[in-house]
Amino acid sequence: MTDAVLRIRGLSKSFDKPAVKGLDLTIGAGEFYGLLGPNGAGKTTTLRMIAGLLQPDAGSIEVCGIDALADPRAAKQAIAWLPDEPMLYDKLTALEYLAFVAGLWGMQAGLATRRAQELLERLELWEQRHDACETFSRGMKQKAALAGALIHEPRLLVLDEPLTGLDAAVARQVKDLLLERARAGCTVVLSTHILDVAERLVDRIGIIQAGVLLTEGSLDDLRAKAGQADSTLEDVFLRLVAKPRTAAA
Amino acid sequence: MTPGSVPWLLRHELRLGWRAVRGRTGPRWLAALAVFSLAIIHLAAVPLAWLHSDAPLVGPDETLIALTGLIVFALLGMVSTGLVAAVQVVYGRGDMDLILSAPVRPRTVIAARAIAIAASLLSLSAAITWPFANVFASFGHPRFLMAYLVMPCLALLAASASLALAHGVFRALGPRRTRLMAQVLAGLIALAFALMPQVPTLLMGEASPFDALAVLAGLVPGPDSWIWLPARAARGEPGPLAGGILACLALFWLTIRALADGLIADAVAATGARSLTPGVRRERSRGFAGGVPAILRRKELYLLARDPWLIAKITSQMLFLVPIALLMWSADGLSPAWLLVIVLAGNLGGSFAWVTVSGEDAPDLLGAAPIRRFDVLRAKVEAALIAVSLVVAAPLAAAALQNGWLGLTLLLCGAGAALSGALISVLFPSPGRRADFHQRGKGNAVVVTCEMLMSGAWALPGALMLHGSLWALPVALVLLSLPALFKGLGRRLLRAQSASIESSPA
Repeated sequence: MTDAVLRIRGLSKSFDKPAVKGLDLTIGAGEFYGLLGPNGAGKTTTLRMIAGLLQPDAGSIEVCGIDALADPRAAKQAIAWLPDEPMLYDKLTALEYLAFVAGLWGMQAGLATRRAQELLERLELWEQRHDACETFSRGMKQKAALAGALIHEPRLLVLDEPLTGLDAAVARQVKDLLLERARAGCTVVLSTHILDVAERLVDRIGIIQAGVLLTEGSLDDLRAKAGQADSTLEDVFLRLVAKPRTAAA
Repeated sequence: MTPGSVPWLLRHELRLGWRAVRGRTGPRWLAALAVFSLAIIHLAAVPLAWLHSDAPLVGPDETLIALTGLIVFALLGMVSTGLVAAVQVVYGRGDMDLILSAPVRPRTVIAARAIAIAASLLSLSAAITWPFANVFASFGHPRFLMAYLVMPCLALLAASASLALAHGVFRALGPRRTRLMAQVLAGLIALAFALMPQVPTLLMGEASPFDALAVLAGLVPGPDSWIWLPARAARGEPGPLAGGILACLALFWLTIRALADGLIADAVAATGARSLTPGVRRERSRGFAGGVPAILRRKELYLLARDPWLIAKITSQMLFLVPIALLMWSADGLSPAWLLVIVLAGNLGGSFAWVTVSGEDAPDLLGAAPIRRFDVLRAKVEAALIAVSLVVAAPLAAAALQNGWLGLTLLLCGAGAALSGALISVLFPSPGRRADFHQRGKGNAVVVTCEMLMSGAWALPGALMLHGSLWALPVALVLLSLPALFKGLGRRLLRAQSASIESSPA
């Protein structure tokens, strides 16, 4: 594995009950990592802790060698966070939104403008750059939010269900852009329920259930662990997730 | 209760309304607040009732004029509130698709919502009028108990008028402008409501209201005219009273019958309009430059300036300054009415800070950005205070032109009030959507009450400054430190509220 961009050790978080229990995870530079798990498995909680939005109860998070709990601002400089519900301002235009996000990450105005144009053109939103975000469709909003996440060229891109509710064309654009970023060296960590997407996009998959990382590896590794060569990820996932339940029963 | 019937839907409406009012306030706290408020209103009525306990308030002819004025006054207040409620309930809540996809008759839905609007109008007005009626009845004026019949009739009448107005605005202006224009119209009606008590003063100068009534009695039609029928009904004359109750019920029923289909069609059109993606609203701006605080302030100011709903709300608040301005204009010397500018600044400070802090559309974005939370909050409070200064700049300038010391007093105490209001919003955030600004008072009744009391309290150092008293300084310092003290007390209150909510049945 190349140098680790994200290193998590013993990460735990409880709300009314434990949501994440002693999670260990190491993800290298330029890696495309998929976090899969059933509803309530702790995926979003894990991703929100990585993004600095939730304080863990125990454990450590290291981003690009920076202790994210000791120096969250320095760590956040390298991260972008994209949740399933786009974080937009209805009354700002797409261009204003990107300029605002770039400002939050301390980018120079000229560079921000160039990057905004590149991203909006790439995502086919340039024509709507002066339109208020409230006039956008779901897919357009998600694309604008993705542009916001990419504008400061993060080294670690954390995405929670980024393809939920998108039509095929928009989903394709988003997937292509994510792959392109990963090839350029950006580490991508995403959670998704769409197993086909994970199967085709990611280098490595982690399966989390009840706050515990059950297993991780490439699709071939998982097939081997599940004893299902030539199976789809869906079959492998269901088999691996069913095992602990069976054991518990 | 039959599912889909008017009582069943009404129960649903009342439950939603109650939960919005209750917010995060525990039932025990809410009950205590209600009992305390009712006790205060009863006590406030005692001196007035005691003064007039052994004599009729006015002569019989003047009674008719006064009652007619009071009915118009109450109706204006109710319609102002009811119009906003009608637009919100019929067009704004966005649940019509769900309800209309069920096999329920449109007229049933509208009837339940209309009754719910009337009930909310009644609850607001009865909370003021019925305690006064109780006290006056106990001091020898039993006819005041007619308020228990008159107010429900007025609520039905106002709900009918509100629905008709909402429908009219929708038809005239279309779905996109209805909410905004209804708010403006409600503000204008509220202005008429606020101006009514000033009519005798404006007409008669310094004469007392009773003298004004005596003069008016000579100008209006005689006591046998039909225009006094509502007043006769309110006075408890059996014929007009029975006729009035029947007329209100009939008008309410006819409104529902005549407008139900139209209101449903409006609601469907409004839902369709929401789902459109017009892509035609284009904005030009100066962009975002400078450091993070400047960027955050500019973002907040853009969002405030581009929120027509918020601007309409602020405008309607400003309209209440018109009668105050009239008072200040007609007063010799320095009128104490100027102190209301301080109260307004405090209210605006709390409101704008709620929008910028609690109404943040993308808290995760700011949370994920490499910036300090303190810097974010500071920029948001600064943006709120800049917005307050823009709104109150004109009255401040007028005050400064009239008297320099008055201008300085309003500037300092207004800034203090705005800062206190903003600090309360920051220290006790109640996250909500920006679009739900009009319901922010329902999120946490205790905090909003504290905020209003704090705004009012800043008039005290203002008054002391105007009288040249040095006590203004310590009082101002105490008021500035109160939000932090509230924070300590508030933590305990919120813990107690949470415990009472968790222990109460769902």
